[in-house]
Amino acid sequence: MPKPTVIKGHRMRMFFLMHRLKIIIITSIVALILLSIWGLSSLESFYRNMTLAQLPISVLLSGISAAVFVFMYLFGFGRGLANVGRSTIKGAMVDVKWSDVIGMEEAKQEAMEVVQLVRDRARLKKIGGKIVRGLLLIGPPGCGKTYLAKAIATEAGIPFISMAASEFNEIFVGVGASRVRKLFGKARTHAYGYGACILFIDELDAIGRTRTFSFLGGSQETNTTQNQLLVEMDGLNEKDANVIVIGASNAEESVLDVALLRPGRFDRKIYIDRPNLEEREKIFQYYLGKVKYEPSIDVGRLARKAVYKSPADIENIIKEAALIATRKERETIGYKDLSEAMERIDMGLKHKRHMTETERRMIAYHESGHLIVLYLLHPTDDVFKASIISRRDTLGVVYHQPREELHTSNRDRILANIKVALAGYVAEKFKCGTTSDGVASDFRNATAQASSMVWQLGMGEDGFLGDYTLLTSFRMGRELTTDLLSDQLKHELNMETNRILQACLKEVEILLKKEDALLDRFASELLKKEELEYDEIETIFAECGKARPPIISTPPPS
Amino acid sequence: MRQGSAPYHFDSSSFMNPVINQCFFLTSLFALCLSGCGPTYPKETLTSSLVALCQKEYGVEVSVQIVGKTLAVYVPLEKLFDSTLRLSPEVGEKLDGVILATSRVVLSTDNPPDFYVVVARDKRIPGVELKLIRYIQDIRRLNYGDLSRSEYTKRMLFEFGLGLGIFQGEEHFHIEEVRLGQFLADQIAQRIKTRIEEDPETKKEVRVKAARGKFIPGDSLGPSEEASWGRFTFVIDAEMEGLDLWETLQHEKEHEKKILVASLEVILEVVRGYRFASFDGVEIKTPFLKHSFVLSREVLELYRHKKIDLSTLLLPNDFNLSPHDAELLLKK
Repeated sequence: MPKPTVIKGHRMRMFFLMHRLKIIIITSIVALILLSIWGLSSLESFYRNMTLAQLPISVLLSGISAAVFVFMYLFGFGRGLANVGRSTIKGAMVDVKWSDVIGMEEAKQEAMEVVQLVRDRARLKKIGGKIVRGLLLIGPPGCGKTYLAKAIATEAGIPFISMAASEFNEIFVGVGASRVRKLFGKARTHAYGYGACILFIDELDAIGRTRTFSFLGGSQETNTTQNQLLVEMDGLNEKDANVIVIGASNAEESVLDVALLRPGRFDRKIYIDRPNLEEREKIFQYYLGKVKYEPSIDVGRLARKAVYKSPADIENIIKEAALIATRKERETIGYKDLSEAMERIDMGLKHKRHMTETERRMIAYHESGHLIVLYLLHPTDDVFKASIISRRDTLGVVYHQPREELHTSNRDRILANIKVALAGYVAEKFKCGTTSDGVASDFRNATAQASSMVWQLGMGEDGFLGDYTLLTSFRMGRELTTDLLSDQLKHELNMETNRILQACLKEVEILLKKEDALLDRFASELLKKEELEYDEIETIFAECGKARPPIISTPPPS
Repeated sequence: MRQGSAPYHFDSSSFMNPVINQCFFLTSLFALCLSGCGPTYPKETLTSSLVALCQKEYGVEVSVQIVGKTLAVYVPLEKLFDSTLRLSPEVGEKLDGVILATSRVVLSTDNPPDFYVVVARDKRIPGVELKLIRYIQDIRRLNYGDLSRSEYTKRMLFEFGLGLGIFQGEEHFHIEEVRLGQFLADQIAQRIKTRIEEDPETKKEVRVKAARGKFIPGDSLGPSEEASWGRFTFVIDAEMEGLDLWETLQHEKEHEKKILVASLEVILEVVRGYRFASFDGVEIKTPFLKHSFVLSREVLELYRHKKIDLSTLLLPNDFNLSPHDAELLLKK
């Protein structure tokens, strides 16, 4: 790990730049002391002794006055409006090596390239190239953007200054801009001494959103702050300092102002996405390595179950599981603890409501319907759990996840989703002779997907192709007066939507009629146990001769 | 994600603290050195320093003598008095300067005297002298804020007159050493006179022609069985004004009492103010009293504590010593 070194010959000037205020104060104090001594020495011995005798009490009184002033300043006026504060420099917090960065291989590769560019700045300058000015880390929350920035700072071996963009915002106009200036001033001083400096601005969208311009004139405070940031990054500055700005944002790239994204400012963008299956396994192994866990835990299955989870989510799952295991007075974390932790995070705490037997039975059949259709018809998803214990606003749940993270959905998958959604309704109708309002969210889901297939995705069977939503009075997020679709066309599209729903319904009805015994079995198991885990579900299907081929997973670390 | 320790931290305090510490150490050392510096006017050059200071800062030629623990300064000045023998303001400033210079010198020397005496004389009018006596401890206490300015003024002795006995011959300057006992006796007498003159009840009817005080040291009292410090003797020469004989006889006792009360108050004030306890008793003589009024120090203390009142003291009893006891004390 390279250590930042000060450029030869720059040390004294850099020191002066960084501490000019302190130097001025100390020089003034020393000058005042010397003047006092000179004054004292010119006094006759009696008056000199008398003055010296009074000195301790004078110093004490001055100290008390100063303390009162400082107290009033701190509590009365804050730390000064435009003060950036010492806490913004977080050099002491940085010690993250490449080896610590796991679960974001591609982003890591890109970041390593940037570090190489920062290290080779001298060579790059010789060739005439410019070092990277800005680096934008975009991605969902909890995926390690800040962590990656720290790794860049550590590996590049240059000072690292960090500040959250929200800290720039203040109710006073101009304070944000002033803070940006001060922060860049600090960064430039460090860059002068060490050759370069990394300035990390977290949650950049707080000041980086597309600027708004009012026809009434004037501008918002965030505009002013952002304008200052734009100027500091690539504007008219008296000297060209090697300050590399790393911005991190959860917001979409389109949310950020185009001026920020142009070359010369944030000219490199690193997308830090959620980890894939292999990366999730590594992350699970990394965090499980920090706690005691049962060796029988199938990390592969955990990774499959934690599809779309960020590294922070995974860390949280392990922490939550550790808490659950502790509460249950166990020494090690088991798979059940991890599973419960995941559900707690995803679905909330169990909240047992008092229900009648009829209600419980209806819910049990409803969830069994979902479960059977999902298991037997869904091409991509696995059932991990079925439960009739209420959580938040749901009375039951079938917890399923895709076996792999999928970024697209084909016709079969969407149809399977519709069938799964309708299965609860069908099961209630078959077994209870009536249906409940518990199907509302299922229907909303099914209708939305079927409608989308016909209106937007060209997945209907009557030859309609194109995105018809663009032609309605609601398009591009705005309400228009003209509607380009005829009533006839709308009718036909709606008919096709309904046809898909009906076809799916029919298929589900056939399936559930056929699997009537299985439906009864799952319902009775759920009524008995309230919850069925992955293994129990698999066992029941196997007992009924419906088991699917097992999914091979990575063995747990020894 | 985990946090770690620092590979880089530009800690200014690591660089600044030694600098600050050194600066403060050096300045403190310097200040300490200064506080230990010697006096501005060492005793060896005290007189010459004062002569030089008066010459340099006020353009006045002075002669300085040290007699025992008394510093005497003779200031011959041109046109010190005007034709009415009043102090000329311009020359008075020069005299003030000399007094100030003397105070400065005696305060900043390593072996300060107990008193200083400044004697001014108009060169044109031989025999007319102005004398000022100050106790050095009073000057110190004034500077420390331990004395009020008015009390300080009351504590200096000021004398103006013809032939104060300072000069033997035309220019031969000679002065006796001032002792604390005598200084206090003179001061008490001066204060008694002022007190009676300023008292609204007595000032219209009683005029103090003169008040004199003397401290007779124990050694001068002759052989005695017991060791003694000495005693104060005050003679207050007062007379009634604007009263006929009948009124005089009527008010005599009353005024006598007032004079005695004022005298005793002043005596107690002064001896306590100076924490002076080296005396055996006090003798007060007034024209109204048939004999000397003599009190021992112990009785004076009783009076101070209001354990006996003046009427009791005036009776010929144990407290107001009988003529015989008084004779003994006086002899003592």
